[in-house]
Amino acid sequence: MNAWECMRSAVRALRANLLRSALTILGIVIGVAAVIAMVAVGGGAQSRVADQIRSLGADLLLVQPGSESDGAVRLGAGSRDSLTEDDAAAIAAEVPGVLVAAPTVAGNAHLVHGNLNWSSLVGGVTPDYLVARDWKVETGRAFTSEEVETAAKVVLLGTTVAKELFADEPPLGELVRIANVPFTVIGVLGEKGQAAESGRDQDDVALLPLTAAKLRVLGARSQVSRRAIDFIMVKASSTDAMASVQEQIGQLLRQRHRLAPGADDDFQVREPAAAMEAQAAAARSLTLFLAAVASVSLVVGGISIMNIMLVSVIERTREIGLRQAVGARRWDVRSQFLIEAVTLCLLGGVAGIALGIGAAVAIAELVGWPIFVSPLAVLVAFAFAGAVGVFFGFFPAHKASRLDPIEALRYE
Amino acid sequence: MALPLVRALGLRKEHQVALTTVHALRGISLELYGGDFVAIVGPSGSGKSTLMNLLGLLDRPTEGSYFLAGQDVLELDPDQRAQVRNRRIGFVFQTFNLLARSTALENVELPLVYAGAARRERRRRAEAALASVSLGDRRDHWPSQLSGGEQQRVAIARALVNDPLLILADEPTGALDSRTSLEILAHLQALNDAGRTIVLVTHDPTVARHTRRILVMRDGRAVHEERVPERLDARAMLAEADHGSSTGRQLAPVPAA
Repeated sequence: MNAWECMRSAVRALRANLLRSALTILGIVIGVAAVIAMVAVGGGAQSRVADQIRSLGADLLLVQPGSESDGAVRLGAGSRDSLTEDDAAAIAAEVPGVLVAAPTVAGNAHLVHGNLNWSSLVGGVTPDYLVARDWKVETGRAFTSEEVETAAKVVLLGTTVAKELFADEPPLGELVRIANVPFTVIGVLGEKGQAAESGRDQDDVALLPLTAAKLRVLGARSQVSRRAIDFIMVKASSTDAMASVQEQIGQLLRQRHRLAPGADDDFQVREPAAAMEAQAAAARSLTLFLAAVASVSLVVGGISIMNIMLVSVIERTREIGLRQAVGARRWDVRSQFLIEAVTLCLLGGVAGIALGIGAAVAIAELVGWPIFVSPLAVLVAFAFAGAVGVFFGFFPAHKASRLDPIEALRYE
Repeated sequence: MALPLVRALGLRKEHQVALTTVHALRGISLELYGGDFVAIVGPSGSGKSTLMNLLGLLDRPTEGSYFLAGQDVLELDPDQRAQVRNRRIGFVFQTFNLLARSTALENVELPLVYAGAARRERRRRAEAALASVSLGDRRDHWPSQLSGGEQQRVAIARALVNDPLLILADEPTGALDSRTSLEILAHLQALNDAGRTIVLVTHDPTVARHTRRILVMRDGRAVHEERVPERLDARAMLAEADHGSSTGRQLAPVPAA
């Protein structure tokens, strides 16, 4: 008897006791459904973090000025004017593994177009900034380096700003007054969504050429150096290079800022993605934990399968005896009952997968959590259900195969 | 005559029940040749079913030897015994023992399934076997849709389908009324006439008189053996019964077990 026929006869045997079979696999169904739903919700949380890392820009380092002390009053990070455009240029030129190093200034300004106005974050950037953050210009174009050099009065709008100032009109080529200086809109940025850490709307931004921002809108950051900037965004060529890049930026800046050995850094290098990675790892282990708890129900389900298979072997003692009489070997009997148990579990697995995906979708709809049903998880759950069938089906099947034909035939 | 098909010597079977030993068989020897039709009769407890189980390789004797078609079958392990049962022996039981959730055809196919025959081959041979017991038109019926006699005929077809050397029928008419019993006996006689070797266990002397040879057992021993002088012809008796038994010869009642 080949496996296919075994499975058909198994399905037939299970159909004969439809309600009982359905109740038996309930444990497996619930177990698989719980695992699938847990993994889907956990996977959703993880993929949301991954999206956030992607929206931030992968392989990103943030170099900020250090804090300043005025007597006993210590001002916060970024309060010093120790970073300059030249530092950024030096990082880009001298540290291997650095793709771009984008000097940036930032501040708030009031934007006006026609009878609409909006206060927003204004960033003074170079074209490298868009590279560092993997930020695409959706309509229009990015700045040229020439526009940066000449402090051209052009602006790239985030989608939120574009909407607030232009409603449904096309903004390209229009004038926007920023701090009362007219700028021409040359492009609208692609959507980035919420920032992972702060929850700030990343699309609520207007990007100007670095020079234009300093000269015309925000004013010089420092009276000491016109070239002072707020931070440098560094993009490493790969994730592996991050650690060495971070290390070398530190050395380079200490050297450039002529810090004595033992003196504190007057800057700090942060890795924003690291925090998110940690968050992702936490989400991952929570998912694993929940899935492990849910899989306990699979084991319980397996026990109920074993229970009902034992009952079934006893009920069908005469059938087993007859099969033995007409030539079934021990192996034949064992595989028949084993396949029956596995079929039960796999049916439970299929039902559980359907139910689990349904539950995950319902969670997504009702609670609004993101979900991600990974095909691998589905496959693993299915295989695990089958394994439960083999494990818990083996003992009853073995018992059936060891029956004495005469005793079995005589059984009432 | 050729070698005996069945050669059993000094078969003993003992069961331990609690502290006492029950002697089910106290030394039985038996030779069967191709084409034999033997009835084993005796009261219950005489050991006839035990003998049947030994002949059918469902059980092993405590002592003795058994050669089936020249092969020493007592040396075999359980799986090998299963294969011998599958290829050389056909069983007919008192309670039919059909699988309730399989059709008549599938029931007949069962031995072929374990013989590893291909699907198409199985179907062909099972259909032929069903046709030989005049049930060709019932192939897709479930056992519950068949009468007792029809179920037993399906069982006979199942016993035949592997072309066995030996058919063992354990009280095949025990659960049937007299007329249906005659039908079954007619089928068995037809098989024997076609050359099949059959051993039939019964406690009913009338049924035994349809065979060629009778072995009477008592207390685990063969106490008497005789050739049937005037074999009853089940087919003729059926025909007679259908004609209203006008010739005066009464149909011998075959009591149910």
